[in-house]
Amino acid sequence: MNLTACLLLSAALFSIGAYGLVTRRNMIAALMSLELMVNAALINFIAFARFGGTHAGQGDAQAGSLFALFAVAVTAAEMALALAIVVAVHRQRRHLDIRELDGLHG
Amino acid sequence: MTLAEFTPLLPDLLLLALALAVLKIDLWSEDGEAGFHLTWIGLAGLALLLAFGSRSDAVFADYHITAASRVWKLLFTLATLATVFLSRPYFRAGGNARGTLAKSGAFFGLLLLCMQGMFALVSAGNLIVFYLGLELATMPIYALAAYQPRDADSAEAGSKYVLMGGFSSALTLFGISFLYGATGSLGFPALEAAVRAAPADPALWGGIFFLLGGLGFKLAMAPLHMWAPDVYQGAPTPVMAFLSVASKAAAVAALATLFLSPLNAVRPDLAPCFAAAAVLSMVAGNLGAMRQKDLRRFVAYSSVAQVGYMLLAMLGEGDGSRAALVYNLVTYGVTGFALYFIMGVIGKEGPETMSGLRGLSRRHPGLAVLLVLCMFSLAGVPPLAGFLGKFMLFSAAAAEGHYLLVGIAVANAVVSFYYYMLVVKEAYIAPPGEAAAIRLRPLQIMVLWGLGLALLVLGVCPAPADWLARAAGN
Amino acid sequence: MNVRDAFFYALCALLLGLAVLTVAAGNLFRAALALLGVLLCTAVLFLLLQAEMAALAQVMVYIGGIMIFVLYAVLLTSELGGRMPAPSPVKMLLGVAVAAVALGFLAGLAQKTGAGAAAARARMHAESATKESAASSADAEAGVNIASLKTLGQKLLDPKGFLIPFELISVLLLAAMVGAIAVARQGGAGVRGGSEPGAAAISVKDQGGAGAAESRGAPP
Repeated sequence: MNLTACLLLSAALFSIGAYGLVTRRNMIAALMSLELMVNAALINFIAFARFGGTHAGQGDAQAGSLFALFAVAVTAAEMALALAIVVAVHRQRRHLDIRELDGLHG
Repeated sequence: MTLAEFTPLLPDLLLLALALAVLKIDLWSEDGEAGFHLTWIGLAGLALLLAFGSRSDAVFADYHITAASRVWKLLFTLATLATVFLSRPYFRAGGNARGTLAKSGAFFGLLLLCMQGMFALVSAGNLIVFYLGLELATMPIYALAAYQPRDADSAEAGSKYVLMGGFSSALTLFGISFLYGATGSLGFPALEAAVRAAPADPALWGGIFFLLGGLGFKLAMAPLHMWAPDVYQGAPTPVMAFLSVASKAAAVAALATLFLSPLNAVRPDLAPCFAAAAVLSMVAGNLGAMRQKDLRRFVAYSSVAQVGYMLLAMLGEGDGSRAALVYNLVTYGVTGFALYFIMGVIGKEGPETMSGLRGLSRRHPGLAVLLVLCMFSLAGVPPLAGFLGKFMLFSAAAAEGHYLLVGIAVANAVVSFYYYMLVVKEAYIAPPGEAAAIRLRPLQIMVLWGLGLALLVLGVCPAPADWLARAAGN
Repeated sequence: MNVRDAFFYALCALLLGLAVLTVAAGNLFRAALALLGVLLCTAVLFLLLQAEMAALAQVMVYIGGIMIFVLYAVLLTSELGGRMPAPSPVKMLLGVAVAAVALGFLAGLAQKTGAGAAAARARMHAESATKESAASSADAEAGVNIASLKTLGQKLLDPKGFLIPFELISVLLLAAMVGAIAVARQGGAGVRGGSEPGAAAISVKDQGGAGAAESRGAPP
């Protein structure tokens, strides 16, 4: 268990999230893929806070943990808003398929 | 700490109080009139306070009140004020053919909360305030884009914006995590020191890469601009106006906050990156705008092209670039809002599309003249405001020797003249359908005259430019 | 490899497996449950990395809050039982390509960052060995909690620390709440009470249009 292992884990998680974002057609599923990517960033923060980064000297471990806390709260707020909008879309269109959302075009 | 020490923080605190008051008053007033008046009076007061109030700089932990941040805040305040005036008819029954917006209190409250985020963004002294400001400046717009009631297009615009915005904030967060790894702290001073000490640190570059991606989405710079046309088209027009001026200004401010101060040392290495994005944005925006029938979509592509011009300033040296960016945003805001108010006027009777402009020269000659001024200004024809804005951007880039790039930009500006003239053609030459005369409300007449005069004055009189340059420079 | 390392790698494998399930499951509810598993694994990982506060927030906010949102949205949009259409081969290929590029780039970045961090730590050790006893870095190695509840709490409300972000995030939560309510309330009238919600929405829209037409005729 070291910094490289944690960063590799987060890299894999981020890539899986990116795959989901590209392939998922259901909007809620796409949002869940987004959560995976955010989670990868959180792992980065905690790993850097725990093991220290590439900087010289003592880092501020608390700053990283606190940033992770803030990021969790922000993501929660964003998700609440996103799902409210998803429900609104569903009410208008009766489906959540991203590819069939084509009311807007030039 | 004494109370007097909080004086520089007064605009930020007053804005928060205003936002809460507007949200609260909405619970009591049914017609939303009180909310509207409170909002515009509050914002006007805030603008005066920012322009003529306390000039002293202050630092509260990692929240910096500086002259440059005051200029940005003034810009955001004025853009929001114009949005509030623009949204007026959209809340009136029959004020817009697309449908009436409801609950103006929540609408204005969300705009003000969004502004609070922009204020935090330009005052940020560390990455955490920066990130929260960026999020707060974006998040209310997700809801505002979906604000048109019972409108599938609006809901769709909201959903597209929330997906893209979520992706962009995930990228930003990922980037910040690497910057934290490279510096061990979240403060801008530590970031600046780390950039100086180890400019080749892989974690640093990873962070910058992801951060640029995240901000690029927010800025709608090509090739990350694909969401903009759909969101602009689907959102209610006042929200589109806010997106294209205030939100764009906030994204530019974010870029400037990071890359013109703590990350200034790596900017020369990023020059090819900015140059490529600038050229791509200009070309993508101009090519896209040519084929549009819907005015909101047209504005989206035109604003992508504007982002391209603005990215040129990121190649120039710090102070001059910041001044050029601010001045260009002011001229773009004035021009843009003049166009949006015209859209609001024609939107009362019909759709806000090119064909809706038909016969404007007969229906209201004054409006048609203003439309011509707008288009000339957007194209950068002297002596209008848009020309001076572009000129400052181009000279900022030229001062650092990017002559080829400036040449490409000038060529693009010339090409853009073509499609801006298509709009004018629609208003003057295309055969009108029914030619009912347009009657303006007193507020609309006042605002349109003000914007029209500003278009002319900002183009010929360099005094405001000087003032802005001096204020934003230090 | 000691027990702790073995546990860590097992946890990583479980986390990634559940993540794959999240993006590949055909049933939305199953995907949501897999996401729940990913979040729980991450919380355990945070505990392993001695960040108890982050683990706590992960469980309470993420799992307690966000997952409830997701499940509600799944229920409200009645996509609970249905199978989602599988992505087309082209999309799948594109997704794999994007993921591969991202993984390649990030894995390289992780390797280099890890090496850089090791070098930085080695330098610091060398310096502290010559000067004084490496007490602080030894503490970190020995697993002193990097961020205990108490220190984080104090820092959060310290005017010189994180007080301003703390206040900002309360504004942000307010904005999200107002926004979510505003969006949720917009279409409400169109859906209520009709067996054909779509038709009800259309009829309300028509009424709105008629009302607008009437008031348009009135003098300003």
